[in-house]
Amino acid sequence: MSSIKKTLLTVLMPVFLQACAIQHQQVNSLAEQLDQSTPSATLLSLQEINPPARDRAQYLLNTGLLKSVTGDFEGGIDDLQNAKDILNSLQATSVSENLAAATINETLRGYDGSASERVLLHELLSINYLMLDDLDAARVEVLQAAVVMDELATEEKPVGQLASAHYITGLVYELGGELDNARISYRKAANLMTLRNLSLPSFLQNGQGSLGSDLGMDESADQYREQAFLPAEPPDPNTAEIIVIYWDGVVTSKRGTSTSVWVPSMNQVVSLALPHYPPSDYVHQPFTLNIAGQQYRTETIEDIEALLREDLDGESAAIYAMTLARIVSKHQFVKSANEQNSGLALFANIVTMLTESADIRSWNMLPSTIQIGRFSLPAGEYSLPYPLNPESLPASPAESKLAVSPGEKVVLFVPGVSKRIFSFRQAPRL
Amino acid sequence: MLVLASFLVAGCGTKVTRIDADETTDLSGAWNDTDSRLVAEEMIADALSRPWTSNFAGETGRAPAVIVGTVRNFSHEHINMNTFIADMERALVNSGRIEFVASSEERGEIRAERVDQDLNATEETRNEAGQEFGADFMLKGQINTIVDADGDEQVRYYQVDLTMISLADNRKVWLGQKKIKKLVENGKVRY
Repeated sequence: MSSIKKTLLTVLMPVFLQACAIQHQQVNSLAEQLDQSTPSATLLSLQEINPPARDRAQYLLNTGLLKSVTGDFEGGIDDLQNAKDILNSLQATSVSENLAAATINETLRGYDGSASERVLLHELLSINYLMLDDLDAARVEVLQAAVVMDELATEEKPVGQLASAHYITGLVYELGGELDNARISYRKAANLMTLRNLSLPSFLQNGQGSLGSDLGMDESADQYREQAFLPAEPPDPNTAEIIVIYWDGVVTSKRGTSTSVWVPSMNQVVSLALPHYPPSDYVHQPFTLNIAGQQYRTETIEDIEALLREDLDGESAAIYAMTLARIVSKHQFVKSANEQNSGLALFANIVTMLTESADIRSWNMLPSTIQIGRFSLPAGEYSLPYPLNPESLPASPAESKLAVSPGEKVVLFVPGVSKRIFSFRQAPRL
Repeated sequence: MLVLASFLVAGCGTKVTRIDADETTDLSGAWNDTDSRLVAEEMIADALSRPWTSNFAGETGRAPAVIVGTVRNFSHEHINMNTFIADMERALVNSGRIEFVASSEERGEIRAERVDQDLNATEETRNEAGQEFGADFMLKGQINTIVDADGDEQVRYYQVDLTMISLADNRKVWLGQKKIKKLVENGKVRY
């Protein structure tokens, strides 16, 4: 390669990398404004960004999520399935990406998602299929989530183990009449929450009432309730069971901390850029239904803010090791420039400083918490605070009515950012 | 760094090669067209070789009429059940040993057409309602999987269960089972 080409490439690379960093910050600010904006407007803004191939998975995760929370479940599934294919293809270690991370910066890796994000992807897909009334496809996704969680499981830490994923798995089994499997999944959800020192929500202590009655035999039902955190009494067959999946808030985006220090002994500027999560300003807000003078509230089953920080902690050893390797390689680059002339060394120092950029990519449009509410209601018609299964977004979110029949199971998906309610209904089993 | 940059800007073009539809191509290790076709053909061949067809023909003097009911996907993969069901229907019809009637979805469309004919077609070409051929047996089934994964290796075990049920008395006249086991080894390193 001629010296002109080398110089041109060295000059252009920081410019190109800065453009990428700006794009990452753009995605982060869209996520940060999602709570004040609308998912539809955010989706339009996001679609104006043309991400490079290595950021494609992050882009599809976000577009898939935004489509899902606005009720475009087919579109959401398309994007999320594409994201899944990319994430799966990136699980093998890449020689070129590691080389790039060790010499330039971490953002040159293909975005392959954190452990929890990989599980949450299946969880969102299963909700999407459920809202499309495709229970078998939802079952496929919860099984895939179980395989991913098994692959991620370690003896030391519950990395990539999600109580909400187990709960949704249990729910899908329960709706499909597979009560034994449902019980095991609910138990796993409860065990994980206990392991993380989180207080068990009421629906995991005594919430699976309908399972007991579904068994049909009194003796078995008693035994079953005892084993699976079930209430002493089966629910009234004249009531409908409401299961609310509520997504509250928007998870905090990663930030980068950059430090540049002149080290005289090395005759070089040493630059470090590391990702971190700033303190969360999330304020917990349950979804509340006021029905016939009684309040029904959702309870937190998953603190995604905490999970993603846990994931980053788990990745930190590898990030630090790569940062150290990068300092060494950049030092060699400056040193070799310095051997040619001091002007070139100054230029090399600037290039190493400008190319140092923290990887702040994440699935940053996820909710801060996933909450579940589970309760029985007598057959009848009830007011909901947001539109139910709206065809399109109304100008101002309005109330709507939910009519329920005896023995019916109704799953409501309530994404807080879209202020809409989507439903899956299951008639009583004969 | 410069060498690395040249790696980064390098791209690959798309190449398309046409291959025979019957050729086995395993790319990801997931359930594919070959699995669907082979399982359907083998299971239907097994079903037709069992005594229920001849028993029915002996009792009634005609070939049994079969309808394909629900075949549920309980596997770890999104399987296009329509291609699997179509493969089974093709194998059943082409055997020439059974009659085959339209599924409930297809019947709805045909009945709507018959109603339309009743209003719009000439008397000579009109097809009357109430002349449908009732099925004697329904074929139902499910696909289950067990996935055992460890690191980069995965064993995928598929079990396809089909049942032929008599619509007259709910008797199960044939139970078919086909198992497939695949070892999928994912690459540890990529370029």
